[in-house]
Amino acid sequence: MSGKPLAVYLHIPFCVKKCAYCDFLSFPGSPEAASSGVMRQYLGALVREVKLVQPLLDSRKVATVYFGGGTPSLLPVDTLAELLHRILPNPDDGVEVTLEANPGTVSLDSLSSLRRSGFNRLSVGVQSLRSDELKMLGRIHSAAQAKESVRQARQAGFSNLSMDFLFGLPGQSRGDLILTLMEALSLEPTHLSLYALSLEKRTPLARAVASGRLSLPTDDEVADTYQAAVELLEGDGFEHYEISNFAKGEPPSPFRSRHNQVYWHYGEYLGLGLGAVSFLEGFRRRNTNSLEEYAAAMGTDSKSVPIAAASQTGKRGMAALREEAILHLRTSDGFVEADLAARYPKAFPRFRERLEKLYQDGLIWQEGGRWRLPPALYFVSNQVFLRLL
Amino acid sequence: MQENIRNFCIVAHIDHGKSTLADRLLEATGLMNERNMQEQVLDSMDLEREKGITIKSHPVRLDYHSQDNRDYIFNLIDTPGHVDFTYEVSRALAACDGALLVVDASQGVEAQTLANAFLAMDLGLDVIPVINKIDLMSANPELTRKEIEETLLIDAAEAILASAKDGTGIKEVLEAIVRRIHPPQGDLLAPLRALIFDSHYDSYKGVIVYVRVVDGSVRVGQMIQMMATGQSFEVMEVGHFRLGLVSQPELKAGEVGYLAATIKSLSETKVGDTITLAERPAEGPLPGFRHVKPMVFCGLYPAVNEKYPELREALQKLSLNDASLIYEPESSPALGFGFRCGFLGLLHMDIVQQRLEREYDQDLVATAPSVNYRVFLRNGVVLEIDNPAKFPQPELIEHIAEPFVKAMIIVPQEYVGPMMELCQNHRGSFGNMEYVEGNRVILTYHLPLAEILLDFYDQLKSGSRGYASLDYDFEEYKPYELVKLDILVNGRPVDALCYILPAEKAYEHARKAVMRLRRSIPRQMFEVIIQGAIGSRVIARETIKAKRKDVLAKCYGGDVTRKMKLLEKQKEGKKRMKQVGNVEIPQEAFLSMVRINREEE
Repeated sequence: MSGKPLAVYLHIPFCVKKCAYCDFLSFPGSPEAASSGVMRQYLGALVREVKLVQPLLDSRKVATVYFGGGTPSLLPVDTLAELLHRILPNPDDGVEVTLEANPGTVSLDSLSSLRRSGFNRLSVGVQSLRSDELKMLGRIHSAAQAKESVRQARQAGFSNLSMDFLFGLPGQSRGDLILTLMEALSLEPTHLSLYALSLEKRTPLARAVASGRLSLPTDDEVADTYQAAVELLEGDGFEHYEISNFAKGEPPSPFRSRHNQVYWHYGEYLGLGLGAVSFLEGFRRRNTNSLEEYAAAMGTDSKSVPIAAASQTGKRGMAALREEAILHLRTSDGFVEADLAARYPKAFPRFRERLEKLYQDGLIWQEGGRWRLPPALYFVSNQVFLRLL
Repeated sequence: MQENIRNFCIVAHIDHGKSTLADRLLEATGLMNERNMQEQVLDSMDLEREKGITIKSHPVRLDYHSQDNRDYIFNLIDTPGHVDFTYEVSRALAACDGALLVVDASQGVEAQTLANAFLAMDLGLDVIPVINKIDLMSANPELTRKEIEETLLIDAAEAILASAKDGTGIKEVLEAIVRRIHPPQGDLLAPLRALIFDSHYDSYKGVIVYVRVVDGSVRVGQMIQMMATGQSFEVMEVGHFRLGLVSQPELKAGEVGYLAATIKSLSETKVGDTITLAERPAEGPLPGFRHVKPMVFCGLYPAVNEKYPELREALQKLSLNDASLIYEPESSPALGFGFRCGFLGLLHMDIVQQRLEREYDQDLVATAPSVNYRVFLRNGVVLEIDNPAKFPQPELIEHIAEPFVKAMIIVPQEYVGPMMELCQNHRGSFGNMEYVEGNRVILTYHLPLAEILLDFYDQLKSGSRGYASLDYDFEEYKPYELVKLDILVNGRPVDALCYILPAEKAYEHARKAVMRLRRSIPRQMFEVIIQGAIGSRVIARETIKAKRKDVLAKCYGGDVTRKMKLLEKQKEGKKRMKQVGNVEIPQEAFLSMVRINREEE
């Protein structure tokens, strides 16, 4: 395997129970169910899709692999290992292999097996360490279980350990989040993702808010909470390298999510599974969202994956430039002018005028040819981005 | 023969039964039968029917066979009954020789009864009082008779008691028209003099002119001349009105009818003008009548900027058939291009707005009506300004004067207190109080026109349980302590939102305006300061803090396309904003500030 780097993503859309805030595509599943019915069908189809794209995998250097979902950790370890080895026959720690895990679906044993199979990064979906919040969110685990899972992961050999948290929750004060984070920090994770809650329509949580049973904090309160969290984490030695992501260590932290950075650096990635998105040669395509369609199309004779949607921003045009710039600006590295100017020679001059205007309005920083968003504006970044459109 | 012609109209206060009476007359003279009777036929527009009022008058000829066995021609000219339409009424009266004065026996003499009666008497018409609605339980004919005598100083001993609803007294009315209204007394052999008392535009025939022929006659083929402009036209058609136009070869002295003469536009005819023959012109014109100036203004803007040309066209078409509507282009930074329109009154304004919206399919924004101010500058120049944004700097102004009206309120005694309070709250000064039979009072107050523009009439009615009636007339311009209130956003005055008002109301209004605006401007990337100021003096202030949250928390592979689309939508939303300096203000914010908001006022 050689050639240009490629990030690979696999989607496992099964969960024990749907959380109250989730609007993702997911289906009921369990470790037992993996050997029968829908899950089995899906996994079979997924394997076939991997086989289909083998030529692509062979022509590129797989730089990162990411198992996301749903709850990938629902799958038996051998299934996960098999899938991984089809993509990366010889995993080594030079290639980041991430598994998303939900506390309550892993054990010390399973985690150890996974580590041995080649998984070297774990992203644990914790969301909160307060029982009332966990209950409101509909999580299947307790705070204690979450902490235990993290300890087990470390014991199993995962030194690259991330935790996900939510804030801006109904009834959550700034202090509540800080307490959760302080507890989290005591477990010494190497990475934290901190997401502001975005209430999606038709979720139980949205309905609870709409009916008045729960009420959201104000924008000001959430902004204050974010600020406090950033200060806490930076004070504890984390690099705030993307709007919602923090990695331990001096910048540039070795614990940044390499896979996600591919997205923010406008790199190429291959998405496998239901609803997965690929971005190759300036062409973005998304697999079907329909389980039936996906399973059926991955019949033994299939020659191609059923695509739901595709779009092309074009490799050199203004649309692509805008997208790329905006993605870069989500990170603390921003983008290097010379780099974009070289790759988008026609569009960049006009784009630069926009950058200049933003600069004059104090909405963007520029240092030595590198443009980035002032961290104080991360939480209103959309306002800057839309001025670039 | 002129002897057998009677030209008359029916005047009354609103809802006293004028239209029902007209219907009965039409019925009794055979113009309508059971089959083609449509409720109150003379009111042709939906809007009129809906509001239950008559807007556009048009005449109708009736044939009457009297008790003394003679045939008469009645020309009934219908008139509007609302205070706004005094002008329309006087035009109709000028074509008549007599008037039926209808008074509701349960309401008695009310404001418009007086106004119309005085108009008719001034013009020398024979006035026949008709006491209507005697069928009602609450009717009090005797009291009404007394009121008529006392307030109008006419002999009501021979007032006709009638009920247009059940047909009582109709025969008497018809006979009274014959016996008590004088026939026309023009000279058939003299040069043609015909008074134009109305007109409308017909897409096939051009302008149709409504005339009362006073002297002489006019035939198809003749060349007529407008005495005011000197322009000549060839007569294509003449005739009279039944339910529609009925042509005839000639119109003679004493007759009321119409004339079509390939007149292309209404601007070529002047209502009140005299028509004569080109080859044998009359010496002098007939006395016309006073042209009434519009008293109420408002801004009319298309809800969507781009539709301005359509609004202009709609106003043009509408004004062809409504000579009292005036409009001129104006613009505001907030609303773009629109028109400042002048109306005879609030009802006129309402009707025009509704017609524009319905018949011409316009989506409108109406800005609060304002009046013409007279600004006296220190250097002696006097400016007439109808748009607050056009006011000169305060330092240049010596004083400002606003139009005042004399308002006449007729109300039962027990409501005098609330009525006086109402007037005082609207900067009124007491004029006169006169007691009338039936425990009623005629209250006269001098009020600024600006005070009665929107809700005065409503408050009048609700403060008197509907018993009060109002009539008003322009009086004069009087100076008042008026100021111009500017609304500033981050230091920039927003033209469209400035307002002229009495100094004593400035603070309260400024507070409300600033609060309202604060609620409708979204948070920006910086702090926004909203101020209300008079000249350089800030009297109200609100702050909008900077935006703190507008972020896409998660953005990974699968999200990008969808999230870019969301950003683009946000961007589109921004486009619909108006920029005031660096502050983005949604159209809705302006609308909420300038739109007429009657509930709130």
